Amino acid sequence: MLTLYHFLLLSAIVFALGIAAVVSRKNAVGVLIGIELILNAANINFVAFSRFTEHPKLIAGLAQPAALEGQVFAIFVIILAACEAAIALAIIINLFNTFGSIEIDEAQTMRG
Amino acid sequence: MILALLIIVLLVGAVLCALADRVDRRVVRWTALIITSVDLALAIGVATLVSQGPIVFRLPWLPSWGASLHFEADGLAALMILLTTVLGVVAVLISWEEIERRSGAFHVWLLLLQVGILVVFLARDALLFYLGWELMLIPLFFIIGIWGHEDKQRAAFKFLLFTFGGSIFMLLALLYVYVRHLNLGMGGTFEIEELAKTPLSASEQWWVFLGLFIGFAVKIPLFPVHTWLPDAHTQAPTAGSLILAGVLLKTGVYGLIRLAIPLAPQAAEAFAPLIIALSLIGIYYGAVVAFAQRDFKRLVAYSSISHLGFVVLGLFVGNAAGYQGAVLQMVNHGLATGGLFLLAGIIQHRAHTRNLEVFGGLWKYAPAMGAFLLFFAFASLGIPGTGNFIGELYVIAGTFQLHHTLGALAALAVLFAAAYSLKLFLSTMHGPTARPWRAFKDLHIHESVALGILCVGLIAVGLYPKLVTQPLYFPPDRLVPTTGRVPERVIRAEAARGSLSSVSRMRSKSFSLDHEVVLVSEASK
Amino acid sequence: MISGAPVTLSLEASVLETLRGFYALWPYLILVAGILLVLVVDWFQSSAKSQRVSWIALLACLGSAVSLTKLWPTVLDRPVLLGWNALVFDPFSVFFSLFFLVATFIVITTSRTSKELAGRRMGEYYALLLTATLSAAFLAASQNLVLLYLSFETLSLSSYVLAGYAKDRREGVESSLKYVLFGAVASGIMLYGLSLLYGMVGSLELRDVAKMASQPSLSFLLVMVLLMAGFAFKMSAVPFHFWAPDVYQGAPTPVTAYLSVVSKAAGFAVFLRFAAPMLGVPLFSQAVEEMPKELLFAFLSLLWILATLTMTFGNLVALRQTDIKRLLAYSSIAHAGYMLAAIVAHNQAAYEAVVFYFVAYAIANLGLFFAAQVIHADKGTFDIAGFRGLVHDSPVLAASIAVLLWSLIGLPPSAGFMGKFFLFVALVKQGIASSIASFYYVLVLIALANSVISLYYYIGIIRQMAFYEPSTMLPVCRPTFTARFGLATAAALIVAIQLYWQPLTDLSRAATGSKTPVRAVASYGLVNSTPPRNLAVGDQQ
Repeated sequence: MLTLYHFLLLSAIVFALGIAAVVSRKNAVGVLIGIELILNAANINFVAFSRFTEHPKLIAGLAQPAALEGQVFAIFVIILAACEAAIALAIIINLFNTFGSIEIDEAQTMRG
Repeated sequence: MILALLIIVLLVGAVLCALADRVDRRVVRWTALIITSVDLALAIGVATLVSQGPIVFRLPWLPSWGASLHFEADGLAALMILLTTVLGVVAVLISWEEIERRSGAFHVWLLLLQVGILVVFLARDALLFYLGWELMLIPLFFIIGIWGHEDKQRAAFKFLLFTFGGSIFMLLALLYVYVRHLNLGMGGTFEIEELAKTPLSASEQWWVFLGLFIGFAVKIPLFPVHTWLPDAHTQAPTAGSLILAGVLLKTGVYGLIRLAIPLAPQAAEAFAPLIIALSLIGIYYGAVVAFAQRDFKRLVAYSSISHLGFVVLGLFVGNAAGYQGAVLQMVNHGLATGGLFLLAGIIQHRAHTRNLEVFGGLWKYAPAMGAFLLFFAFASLGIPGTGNFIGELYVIAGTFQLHHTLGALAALAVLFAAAYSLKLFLSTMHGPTARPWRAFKDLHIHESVALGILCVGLIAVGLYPKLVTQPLYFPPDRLVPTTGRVPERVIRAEAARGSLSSVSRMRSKSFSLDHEVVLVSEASK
Repeated sequence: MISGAPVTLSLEASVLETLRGFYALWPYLILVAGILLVLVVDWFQSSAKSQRVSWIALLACLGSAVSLTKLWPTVLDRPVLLGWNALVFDPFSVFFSLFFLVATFIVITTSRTSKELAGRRMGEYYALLLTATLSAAFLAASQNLVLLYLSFETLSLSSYVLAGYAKDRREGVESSLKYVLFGAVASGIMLYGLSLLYGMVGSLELRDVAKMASQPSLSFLLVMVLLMAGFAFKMSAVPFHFWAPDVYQGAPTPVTAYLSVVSKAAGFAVFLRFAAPMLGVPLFSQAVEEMPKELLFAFLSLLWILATLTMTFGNLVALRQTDIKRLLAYSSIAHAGYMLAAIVAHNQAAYEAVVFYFVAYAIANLGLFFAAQVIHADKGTFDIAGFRGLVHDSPVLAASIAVLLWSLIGLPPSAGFMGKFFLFVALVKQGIASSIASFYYVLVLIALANSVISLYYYIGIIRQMAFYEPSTMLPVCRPTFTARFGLATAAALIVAIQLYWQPLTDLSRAATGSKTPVRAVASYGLVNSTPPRNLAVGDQQ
């Protein structure tokens, strides 16, 4: 049977993969994908915690577990991840227009 | 009010100088001269008024933080501001011809420098003191850095770095006492007198004194932290050297008297042997290194280290004679070394070099200059008739009271002073003419006036030392710190708090208070 | 308004509360209206006249700031809560909102004359600037992790675009790329931490999070470390500072000024909001939840190390910079270190010191970036060589810059000195009270030693300005009267604060809650059975 710990393990693995991608990729889009992995790892956590935890706390007037918050958070994160991807991709296109490449190492005009 | 006026006049003067700069260089000079003369007159006023009691000026500043604009002049402070304002006039006179570039800015900085110094001498509020202390850095940094000689920028920066580095320790110590005072439920205050009442344990005092001492020692400068001084002196324009040697170094000693010793009297006592040792090393080190110099200004700079060693020695031997000698030496050193720096500047302006080896036989061309140099060199070595003789005598006497060997060591140092002073005079004025100095003019009238003022001062102190020693016991109702170790004020504070045991312990020392009171009455006779 | 606590309010009281809430939201609504108006009006403008919309942005800032000052007495009396307790308007958040707005106002003014931005369509620029400010204000006010993350991201996203606004300049593109990648990673790590935190606490509200801190657990410390990634990124503190130099250098100068002041302040505000209750000294109505001693010490040690590394690294690397914006970037890293050091003291005085320090820092930084912009406009370079002999070109400009630099060193007479002074007072206070005094004293010594190091590069600029003749290769700098006036005002303000700092300390004290009586600790002011006395409705009369 799947327990909370399975989900946590999964999210930890996804998080680690995301960090690994961010650190190792030289391609800007590759890094972006790594970032998405990190965000999704967090999302798995949110949903899993929200599903598996019993919470006594009630929102006044609503007879639902407050733990729904986690799922709401996950939806917000999905929205924000989309915004972030849009902006990052726009910047990467701009990078390609200016430097003719999307390798991060190409953009190294400033040093010090 | 007159104390505030002293500072306001200078600030107004700085603004006027900045404005006058748009008109003409001569207008700037005259403005600066008039302003400094007015200030000198005010300082003389303060010095005469102070014999009737301390002059206090106090305005609330930030009451909830315990900070106030508290200026107070007693005899010692009056002496110091008199010295400052006299040298202020002299500084303007000597810059008459020397400063050609950006004369307006120069005089603005010169006046602001005096503002900082006066604030330090008059402030009885620790925060105000610290503000004045740091305020002195800015003008001198620019004066050295812009109008100095060949290696000016490095010297200016070294000066700034050393003094700032020292002052952060001082800030930390003051801050500690402030917070300690606050934490005891005694309320926040920056009043030095109030802060001195903070009961600090022995180890706390040790740290507080150490912090303050580092800050002041750099400024004095004592032996291991003196290295900025020769550079700063050598590179500074004449007026800068004059103010630097004449008063700026004294602010360090003054800070010891006003802040370090009252805030941490027991620690001051504990530190005394170390400080005495350092100042003795400084006396010899300064004198020996001075003798080895080829640069006129560098020689005088090292002699300053030696002389200031005497001052600190006198302060910490812990008796009235030493203290009086220390203050006498502060005044004399300001006048005599100031004179030597003036001559260095004058000669350099004409010869475009300070190298002693290329001089020689200048007396032929400039007898008046030679006469002045002779006088100041002799004053510097402490010939009777000048103030230096009396000052050194007092210090040596004080040291003898403490310990015979130390006294003998201090006395022997005078010989060394003779060596470098005579070297200075002989290698410039006597001997073969090393170069054909065609256009070597004798003194201008304003130069003669400037030198004359210093000369008169030295002779006056030499013939009538009461001029300096008597004001030390103003105001008469309250003894100023008569010893380096245990200021009377602190003893009173201790007694008021009922910790009589420590007072009696202090009284039982060999330099007992009774003995000092006798000396005091002698001095004021 | 629905309360988080199961307490029934009388109808009258709940209506009044709701009105109060709307009143508190008013300044932010003005800002939103400003954003929309800027965008709409810009559609109808020709590209050449696009700069005109800045007036709308300025007006929005002004209007918002004015209504915030009206809100101030109300929140001083009692914090206002909104949106299921997600937003809290207490003096802390209102002060920071005001601070952001004033800074934004100045940034907009400087943007109007910026040559780097000239000839571009400016509608989006101002809209993004205002959006960033709005989210920074919400960040300081958020009491809920969702809102915290939302406003954090909105601030970041707007900043990414702003940093690359000059999209045809290579440096601009590079800086926005580095910013977005670095920022996304940092906020991703923070989000992961938030998700773990949510699992541990079972709630997304900050006060519940604080309660969690009172139970010892190592995993909590791990979560704090993950969260620090996000906070440190915004504060540009080590080890998440790498973006700062490149972004500061590559972004348009007004944006750089904005990032160095508003973005950083937002990071500090949210960090204080987050950490204060756990450190045992809450802001306002936050409940005190003291961490167990060992955990607290571990957390403080973490901050201690971060502070030390941040200031030392910033100062040491700043020593060898030749580009003024890059130099100021490292200097701003170092200043983040000083302020982190104050937070280590974790007492009321420390929070006040941080607020005070930030004001002093903001004046100096906004002024210096503006000066860099002015010099760049005439000389075409951001190199320090552009400062050479500036005193001959324009004495007022040079003197003002010198005063601002002086303040950043922390030498009197300047606001920066008082900032450092209060900071050290806080640390010494804590040291005297604590059994591990040297923990704090050593930090003070390190900070002081850092000031001495920083002297070197700040004075380097003053030396360039005062000691040298201007370079003949570069054109003469002729700042406009407005530029000189603005900088002289900043310099005068710096000195004025030294001479009379009482108003500012009163303000910082009020903003961090020393004088304000804490009335409703448990429930954020919603359980009072009697209607609140000082209502917004009453204020308007």
